[in-house]
Amino acid sequence: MIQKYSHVTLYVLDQDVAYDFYVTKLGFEVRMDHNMGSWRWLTVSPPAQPDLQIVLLPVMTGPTVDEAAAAQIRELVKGGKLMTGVMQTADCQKTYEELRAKGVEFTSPPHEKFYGIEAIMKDPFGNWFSLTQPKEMGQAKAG
Amino acid sequence: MARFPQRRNTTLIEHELFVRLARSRDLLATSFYRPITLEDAAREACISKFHYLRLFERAFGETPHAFLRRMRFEEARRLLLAGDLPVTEICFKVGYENVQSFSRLFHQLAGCPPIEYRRRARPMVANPLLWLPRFMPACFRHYFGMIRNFG
Repeated sequence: MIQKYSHVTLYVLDQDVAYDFYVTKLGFEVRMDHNMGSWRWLTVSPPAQPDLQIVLLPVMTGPTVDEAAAAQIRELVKGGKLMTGVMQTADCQKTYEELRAKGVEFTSPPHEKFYGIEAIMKDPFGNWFSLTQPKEMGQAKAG
Repeated sequence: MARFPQRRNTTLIEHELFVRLARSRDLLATSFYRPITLEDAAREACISKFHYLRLFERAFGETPHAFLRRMRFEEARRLLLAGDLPVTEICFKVGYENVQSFSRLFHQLAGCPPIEYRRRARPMVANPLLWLPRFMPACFRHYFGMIRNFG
């Protein structure tokens, strides 16, 4: 029986830049960081989800991905075509301000939706995320 | 209007409270080598001991005791691999007062006693290709070209 999801994959175009974004700026915790030469086995977790490892996976050629596919994946990432997910926060406005102060790019500031308050942010490669404060968590209005 | 289904044990808590809990977790992480009580940690978070236990687990997915035990275990592993300190000394260094309890707990978490762990793990540390498979699922090892096939 499946117990839980342990690893999810996020394509990145530079693992050093990814580390700076997800660890230094977003505050994710490092789970694995092993230098394997031209790449790192680099996984991170949101602080409240230590058993979910997000694999910051470099786009590179190998047994599963040839040059053409790698080029396609890079273009898909840069174009923000890969829906990467939703990050939850207890205070969207506050988190938006904190992350902006750290240099995180937002394509949309916090707006109230029927399900909560949502902002849209991007990582340095083009991956975009919804930053959502679900409605049942608080009644704060976007400022 | 659409409503989200109610989750029984949500890990989401109010931001300011989360910051206090994180501060108390930092205290545990930096003080695991000495006797530290639940009261100390709860006081750091400015929460009653009763609520602290429940809120800590909601925020971080493990109890304060489990977190402390994990910190001590990880440090014990590091010390076993890094040098030749006797197990007894490592036991006291990571905050345990009883060598038998420490060894029993280590065995539970590592699958073998501390001495055996040191004997087995030391040769592997020098070559990551020997230990990495334990931590990297086969699909990723295949992606990186470390194995030809999987499944």
